[in-house]
Amino acid sequence: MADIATPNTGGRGIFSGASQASFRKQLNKIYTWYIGGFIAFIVVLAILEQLGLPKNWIGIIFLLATVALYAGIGVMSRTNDAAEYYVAGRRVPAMYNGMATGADWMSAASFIGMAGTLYLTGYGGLAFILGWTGGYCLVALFLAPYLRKFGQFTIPDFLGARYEGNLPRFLGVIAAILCSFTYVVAQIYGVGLITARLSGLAFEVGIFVGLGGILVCSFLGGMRAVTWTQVAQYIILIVAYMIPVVWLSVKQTGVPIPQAIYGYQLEKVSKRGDELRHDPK
Amino acid sequence: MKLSERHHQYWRKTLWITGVLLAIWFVVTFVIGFFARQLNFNFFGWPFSFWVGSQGALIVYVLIIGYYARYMNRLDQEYGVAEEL
Repeated sequence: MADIATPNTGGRGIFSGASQASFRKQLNKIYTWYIGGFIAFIVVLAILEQLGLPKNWIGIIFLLATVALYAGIGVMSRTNDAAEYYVAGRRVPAMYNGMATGADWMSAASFIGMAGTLYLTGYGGLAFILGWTGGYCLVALFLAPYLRKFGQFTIPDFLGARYEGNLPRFLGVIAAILCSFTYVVAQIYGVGLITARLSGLAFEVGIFVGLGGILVCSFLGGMRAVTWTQVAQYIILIVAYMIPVVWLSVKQTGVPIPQAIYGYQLEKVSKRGDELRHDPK
Repeated sequence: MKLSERHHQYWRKTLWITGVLLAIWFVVTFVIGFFARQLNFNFFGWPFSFWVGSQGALIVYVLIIGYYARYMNRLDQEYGVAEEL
């Protein structure tokens, strides 16, 4: 088993590099080009919109370009090395790994669901935020460093070896299935909604188109493909998250940092809510 | 592998930092959550407990993870158990 656990630095494709430093340099280059391409794409679409390209065409172009991009990264990251497939070769630079994790955090479920959940449930809804962010602390303190030093790939493997038995391994499997199932249901629902919205397909068909895209992206390259698509997603997501709220914040308060100012807006919203609730009509 | 005194020392330090950070994590997550109603004073417009839930706790989490990673990297190097890159 030892040869599987040792990091393999001789992977194929554009993401292979001789040493960690040149690997990182190459990554920086690739993602700089990527950002440039992303901006150019937006500009071209904006020009086309001005020239009178119909809205549903723009939706389809966005969808196809996104799927093609991620599928492209997925195909380029294809690998048949176990360490590359399961843990991206254990050599993703911290910054990029953080971006990939951040993209997971800002997933479809939080994008579509979180604002509404917080609006409806108030303080109670923050349990989601605390849970899925605070959970990273538990993973970082208790699991991740030991899992890495252990040299195998999955948490059930680790638990089975650490506590010597099939019961801990089984509990690990149950926990993994439980977590991913809850998460994946919400994600797939989001994928279906977005695909249906952008392509005009029926929701049921949209789910399968979206799932097909996910399969192409992750099947050939495993964790390696997922990590590099996630980094690509992060760059788009952070822009897509920030622009609307910053815009809104400037419009409403004149301050471009919504995180610092939305408490006062919240105060106004709850006052207005109280007024509406006590309105005799 | 026979564990030396140095290994035990390394492990004690690891347990210590884990415990301290976990205690901070617990206070931010559960103690403030439990006393949320009492901690309802105005904090730059937010009720304080709401602000902790939506931003404060997340900042503390990031600091916890960042500090832990830094500390453990140093400790690994000091005790010669770091992975070489």
